[in-house]
Amino acid sequence: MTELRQEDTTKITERCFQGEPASCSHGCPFFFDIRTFLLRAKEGKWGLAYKLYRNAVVFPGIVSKLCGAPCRAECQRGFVPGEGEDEGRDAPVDVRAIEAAVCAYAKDQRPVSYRIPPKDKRVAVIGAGLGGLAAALGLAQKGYGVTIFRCGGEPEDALTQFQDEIDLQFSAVEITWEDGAGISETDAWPKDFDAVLKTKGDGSSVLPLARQQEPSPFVFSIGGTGPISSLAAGIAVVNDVEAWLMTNGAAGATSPGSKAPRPQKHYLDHPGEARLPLIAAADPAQGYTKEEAIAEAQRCMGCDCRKCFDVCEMLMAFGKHPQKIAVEAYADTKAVPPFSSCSLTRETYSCNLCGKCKEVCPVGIDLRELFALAREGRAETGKHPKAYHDFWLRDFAWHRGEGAYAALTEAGYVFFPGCKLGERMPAQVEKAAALLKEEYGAGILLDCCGAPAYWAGETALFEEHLNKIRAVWESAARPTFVFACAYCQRIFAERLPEIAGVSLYELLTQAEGSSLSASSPSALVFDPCAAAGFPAMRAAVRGLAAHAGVVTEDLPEAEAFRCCGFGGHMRLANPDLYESIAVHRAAAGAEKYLVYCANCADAFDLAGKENVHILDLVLGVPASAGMTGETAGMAGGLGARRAGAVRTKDALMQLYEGTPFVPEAKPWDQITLTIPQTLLGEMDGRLITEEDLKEAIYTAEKTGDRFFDGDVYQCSLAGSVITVWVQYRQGDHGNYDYAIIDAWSHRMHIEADV
Amino acid sequence: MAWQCAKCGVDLAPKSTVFSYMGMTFAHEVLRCPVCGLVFIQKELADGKMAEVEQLMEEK
Repeated sequence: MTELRQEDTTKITERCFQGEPASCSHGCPFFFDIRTFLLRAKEGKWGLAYKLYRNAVVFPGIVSKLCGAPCRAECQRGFVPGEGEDEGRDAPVDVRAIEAAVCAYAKDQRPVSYRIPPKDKRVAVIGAGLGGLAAALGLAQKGYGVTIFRCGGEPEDALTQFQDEIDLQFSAVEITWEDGAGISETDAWPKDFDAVLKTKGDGSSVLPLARQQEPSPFVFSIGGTGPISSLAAGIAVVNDVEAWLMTNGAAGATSPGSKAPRPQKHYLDHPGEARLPLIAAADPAQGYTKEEAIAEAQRCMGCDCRKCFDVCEMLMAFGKHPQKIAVEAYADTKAVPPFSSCSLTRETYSCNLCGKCKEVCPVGIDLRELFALAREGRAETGKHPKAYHDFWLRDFAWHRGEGAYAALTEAGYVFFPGCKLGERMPAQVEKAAALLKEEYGAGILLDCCGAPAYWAGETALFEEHLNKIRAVWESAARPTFVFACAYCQRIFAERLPEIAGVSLYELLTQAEGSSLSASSPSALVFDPCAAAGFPAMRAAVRGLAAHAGVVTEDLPEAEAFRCCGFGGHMRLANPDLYESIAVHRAAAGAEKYLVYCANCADAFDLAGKENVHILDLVLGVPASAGMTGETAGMAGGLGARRAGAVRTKDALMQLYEGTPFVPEAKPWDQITLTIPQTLLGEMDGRLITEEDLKEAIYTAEKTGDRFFDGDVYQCSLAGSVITVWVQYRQGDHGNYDYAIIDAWSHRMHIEADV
Repeated sequence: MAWQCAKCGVDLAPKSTVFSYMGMTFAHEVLRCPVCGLVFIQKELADGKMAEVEQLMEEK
């Protein structure tokens, strides 16, 4: 991989509109952040609401009376379907009436007095309509010497009823007022000004905001189709005039952002949103009471996209916007500790990389891609906490090395059970392999798909592994891969698209030899996250269950395809989050789960959620033979899982070539351990294996590097990433038997141990 | 009784020891064998202060 660039991460999230103003703002001439305003109003914070409103519209007392409320047409409350009047739709929020209430109930309405040193540039504003007044006020607040030339006429006359509001808003600035009758007609621009703002004067025709290059001074024209659009133009011109003044008239100078395009307008769907009737003022002449205004503001749905947050505990826990995540993901690869820190470590390694966020995102943003890239970038630059993935990468090394097995045939299929299914259910893998061999003449490839390397961000290792699999496929007449695991199938579909794939469940549906037997009358299907892309796999699992006499139901749509917690190997990076995810998933449905991913089954064992694997249901293998339930999975510990993998390879070798699998002998194989069940669970949580303890004790007994306190011994085994410690006593069953008292680990490396 | 080094048969004593993690090194006083220097880490230390510092380093 080439060095990560900022655009590599930011381009993934650039279309995210979380936090941007809602659709109502797009209808507003002032692009006012109505959502935030209504939030303050809901809370009854009239003063804060007033300030927001004042900053956006300059003359709240006028706008709240004159505005035609074009925001109504963009209010998504107005899209909520229902029965009854208003063409079956809900009424939009009455923002203007709430604005009027805010103006009535905000206690302190004095304008803020900015302590800005006066500037030596002078500006003339010709015309005291709303546009001219707003521009004059804005420039005066920035410290410019402003003179307003009153020209008279309808726009100015119409404002006399609002004189108190105009006086209030101008009360914190110094302005010179002059008589400018006839000045705009003669084009006799006042002298001694650095800029002149010409307003159309009658407010009747369109005079778009434009700048005309004239000898001197520079002349800006503003206008609008009516008082509100003139006001908006007057507010908008302030930054342009200032940019021009600050650059001494550099051609084309604009203020930063003044010409930036508005963000795109988005509408959200609001499933299940109930209609809420419009609040009518008890006394229309007086407008809303406080209570009425709050009730009406509460009709605002606060339209902001949080779709990804709603389906992800991780995003919810950290609360960072996707665009911020993208910037930090890049920045973290450039951090130079201790001078600068990474800011996204825990998030980066807490993601399940399941892809649910992309599925629900209205603009298809893929945070899985972003976090995978972040992990890749950090591994590349050595900024990854190796301890999070060390165990899984060692486990991966075993599965792709000693644990791997290939027996290819000339037939068009090869069974790829993946590594985790065999750990948990060796008898079921054996039975499925035998069925496929008999029905289709299928070969077998026992290996890992490479997910642990992908999840660790170890791209080179991942690529190498994929290349190895591709080479096997090419050497065997390019068979179709038969997957038992949805995540394996997803990795192949994405990274080895040239290899055709089908799920085991689809083939079992067709296989006559499958002996189906049901033990549970009904179950909720828990689809693994990666099955989102494989509808045929999902349908086949349901079909198999039905054939076995099991009535299945689906989880609610919002819960479908959410990761069980195993994905991304995030457990060590964030143990608390891991547990909360498993608990949430377990609580998504009251009934027993029907799963078809070994990792989901493990996660639910851990969370105490009753579950059954589809292969347990349909293959007719006794549970004890399959090492399910109490004897395998997480309940049986990591040692049982490795034993399951060994048994799987042995069974497959017996099936295909009639020879047993003899695992590589270790000097500590003769050691036997007794481990309390509670400690076994704790070791699993820390990913410490029985094998680790045996090796530690064997090494300590051999070298003498250990401690003792009475009959209790303590020793350690320093791996390249973690160090494991164990406390033990001599056991009752011979010289090589030990009773384990406790075991723990740390990630720090002891540099000076002599 | 107190923990003793099994090889040297002596009581352990606190001594400054260098640790490293995530590219940073730091010293802390821990129990060691005063003769051979073998470092002794208790579970309370590993799960307490050491885990805390590890988390901090990982965030950096």
